[in-house]
Amino acid sequence: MMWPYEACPNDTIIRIQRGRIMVVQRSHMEAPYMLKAMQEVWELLCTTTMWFIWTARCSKVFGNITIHPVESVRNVWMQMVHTLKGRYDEIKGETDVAVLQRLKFIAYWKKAPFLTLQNARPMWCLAPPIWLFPPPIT
Amino acid sequence: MDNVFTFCRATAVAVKNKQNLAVLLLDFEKAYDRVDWNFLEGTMHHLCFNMTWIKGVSCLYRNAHSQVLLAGGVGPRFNITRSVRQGCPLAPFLFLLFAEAMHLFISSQSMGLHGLAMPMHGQDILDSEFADDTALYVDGTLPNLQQVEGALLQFCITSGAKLNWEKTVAFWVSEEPPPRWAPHPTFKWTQRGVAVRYLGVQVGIDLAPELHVAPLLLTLRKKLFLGSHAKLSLAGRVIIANHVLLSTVWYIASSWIFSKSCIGQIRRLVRNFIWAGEDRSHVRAKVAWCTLITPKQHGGLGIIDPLDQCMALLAKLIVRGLLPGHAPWKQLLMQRLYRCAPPKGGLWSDSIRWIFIPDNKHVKTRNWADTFFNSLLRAWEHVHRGLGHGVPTCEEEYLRQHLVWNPNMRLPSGHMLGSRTRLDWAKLDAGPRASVDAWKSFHTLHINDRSEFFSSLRGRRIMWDQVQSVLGNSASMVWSFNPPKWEGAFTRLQVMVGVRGYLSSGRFQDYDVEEDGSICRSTTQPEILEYATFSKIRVLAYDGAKWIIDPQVDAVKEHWKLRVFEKKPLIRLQWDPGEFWWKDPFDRAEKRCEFFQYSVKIGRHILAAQRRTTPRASQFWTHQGVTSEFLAKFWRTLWDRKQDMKINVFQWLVIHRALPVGQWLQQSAGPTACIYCSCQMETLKHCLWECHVAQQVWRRVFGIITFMFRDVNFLWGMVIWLRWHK
Repeated sequence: MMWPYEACPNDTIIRIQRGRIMVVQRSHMEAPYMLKAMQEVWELLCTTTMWFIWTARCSKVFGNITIHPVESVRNVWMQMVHTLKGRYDEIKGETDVAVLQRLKFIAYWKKAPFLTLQNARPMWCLAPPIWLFPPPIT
Repeated sequence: MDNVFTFCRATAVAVKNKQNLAVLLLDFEKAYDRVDWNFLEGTMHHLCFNMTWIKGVSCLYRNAHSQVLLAGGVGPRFNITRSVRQGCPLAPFLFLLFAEAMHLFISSQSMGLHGLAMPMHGQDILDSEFADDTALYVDGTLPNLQQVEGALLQFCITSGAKLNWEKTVAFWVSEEPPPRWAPHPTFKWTQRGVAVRYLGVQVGIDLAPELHVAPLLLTLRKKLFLGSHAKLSLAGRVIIANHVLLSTVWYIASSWIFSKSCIGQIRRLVRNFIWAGEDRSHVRAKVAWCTLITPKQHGGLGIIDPLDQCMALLAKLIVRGLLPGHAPWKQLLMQRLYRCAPPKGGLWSDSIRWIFIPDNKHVKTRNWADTFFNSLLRAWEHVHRGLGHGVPTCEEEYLRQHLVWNPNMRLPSGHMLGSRTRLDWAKLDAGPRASVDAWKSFHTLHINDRSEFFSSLRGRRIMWDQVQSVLGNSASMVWSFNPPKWEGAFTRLQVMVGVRGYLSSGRFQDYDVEEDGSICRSTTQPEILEYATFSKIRVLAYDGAKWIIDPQVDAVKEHWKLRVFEKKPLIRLQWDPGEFWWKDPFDRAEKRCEFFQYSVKIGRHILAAQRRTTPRASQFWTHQGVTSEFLAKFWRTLWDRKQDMKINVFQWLVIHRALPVGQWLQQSAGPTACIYCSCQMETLKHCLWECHVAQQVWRRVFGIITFMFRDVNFLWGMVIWLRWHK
């Protein structure tokens, strides 16, 4: 059973378990399913943020180059977008499995602000949103 | 590398046996270009190649012509009458045929050449070839050397090859002075202690270990630190270290024993490269070496430890040696491995069973003064612990089980049966002895006492190694007494041999086959049969309907149930590789692989698992509430996460508290204060979380999470789900 992502009924989720395509009711799976997506976002964000905090600190120590926190946040955003884009581009081909993997990927990441959907295809938000940069926190 | 191993061991054996040995490393002038086509076609024809194939190969080479491009101009066309084209995928295989022809020619009986005498196999080792590198191991008598010279000359005339005596290296392995033999005016024996490069390795007689190690370390240093200016990340250095080591050291390590100091120097080079990117005298490691060499899935960085790798490679040598075949290196290896004896003396003869004894402290080797074999034994002792022994499932497997030191055969106390005397070993470990029922009763622990079990076996049946060796090409059971029902006893292989039993009274006992196919004794009932000698061997095959006396080999094969490798049974080995399996302790799937599927990686993991190292940072994990279950899952997912490898490695460093923050630098008297704020002691937590600069980044990044939680319905659904699963 195949359909484009946007035509997928709201009360079902397509999953791939042990190589088989399964359609399960969303009502039974919603919370853990979403938590899993959140967990991935959280892991990626944490590690990437720590990395850029560390690189900013090393630039200051070894090169006396000050990297503003806003710059670090922008780097985190760009790194996240490129990582996700790389993951999405890794899924190649038009086979059923590949298409479902793409759908699964979008289902995972559509709630994150790094991409928007346009004709069932992700549009990557390369520029970080303005609400990420409020006035300096004191 | 097998040829280098052959060289090293052959010279050692010659010294041990006090045999005058001459080793000639031949150099053929333009070896590929001088291959005569007529000779090649004749060789293929002799080796029973199909005529269609021979003609096809000839079409590729016959009537070919060539032109020389010189100074921008193309020279005149000329026909080619010989050579195999280097660069052509077919050329190496064609040259193999050429080398095979040389081997057959030199080792033919008609030539009468004598090589390195191997008393166990009864066949001399005469030559070993790898592409155009040929090594001859010839007996050092003058007539023999002259015969070798004549044979080589004859081969060169026939095949079109030309021997370059100026580049040919000759070693004289003996305390006696070499004979006056000079096939060429420029020929001379290489001095002792002089290193010669053979197949990329320094070889020689009485070579100082430094001559092996120094060039290797120099090469390693060049390769590792050549690209240090590139400022590789830690992840990149790990990859470089593993792969540079793999290509440089492991080639030699597969047949060479590195000393402890050499291993230490290699470790130091790798450690300096990993942590500093340059070879300095004082480099502070951020994580302990034992943690570094742990596999990635278990909290390490997956660096290959030189010692583990060397031991795993040596263990692989034994596994390869157990495969059927009579390659020279295998003969040299196994003739020493067969020599083992119980600690209290005695004769175990040619038994390879000791290799599978879990605790081989009870085995000592005879004349085992060789450093190489000592290291080999030690390596195998460690790697062998990862070898599993399957529980026998059928009668055939039950009968093949050995009693002593068999983990499947334990007494109720949990101890394995031991064998400390020759008598025990001969009676209990030389082969299957009891009926299947008795054997199963032992296995299922119905027998509580060893002596009880021994008495139940006494006078039953014995399989003798010497008979096995006499039979040579047939997998058979030997029966030295008369069981009440012959047919019932021969269900194992349905092949048996007639024997002559030596009685305590001094008479012989013969077993014959009657015309109707039944078996009976030719003399009267004997007294107690002490043991059997086997002066007359007759092979009987039973095909279910009738007995066949001395059947054809093909007919015997039909009844074999043992595994057969290359049409040779594993009779000499007396074991079945199917009963043993390897298990990678770090494999997630916990998959077992067969004995001959041993890989160096498995061996390395087995050795790493035995160390059971605990990272130093783990003391902090318990304080922070990090459980072992969480860690196991975390290590698994850390390296599978699809993001930049440098971020993964950074996270690994954070977990191991190996970031050079102020607290870490305090030990080396470095700056300890935070560079952003007034904090005097910069800790890891402060640097990445508590510092106001880090806080500004984190608060903004949390905005992304808040954005994802904007969907109230999602929040409400999660609350319901949490309540439902509370």
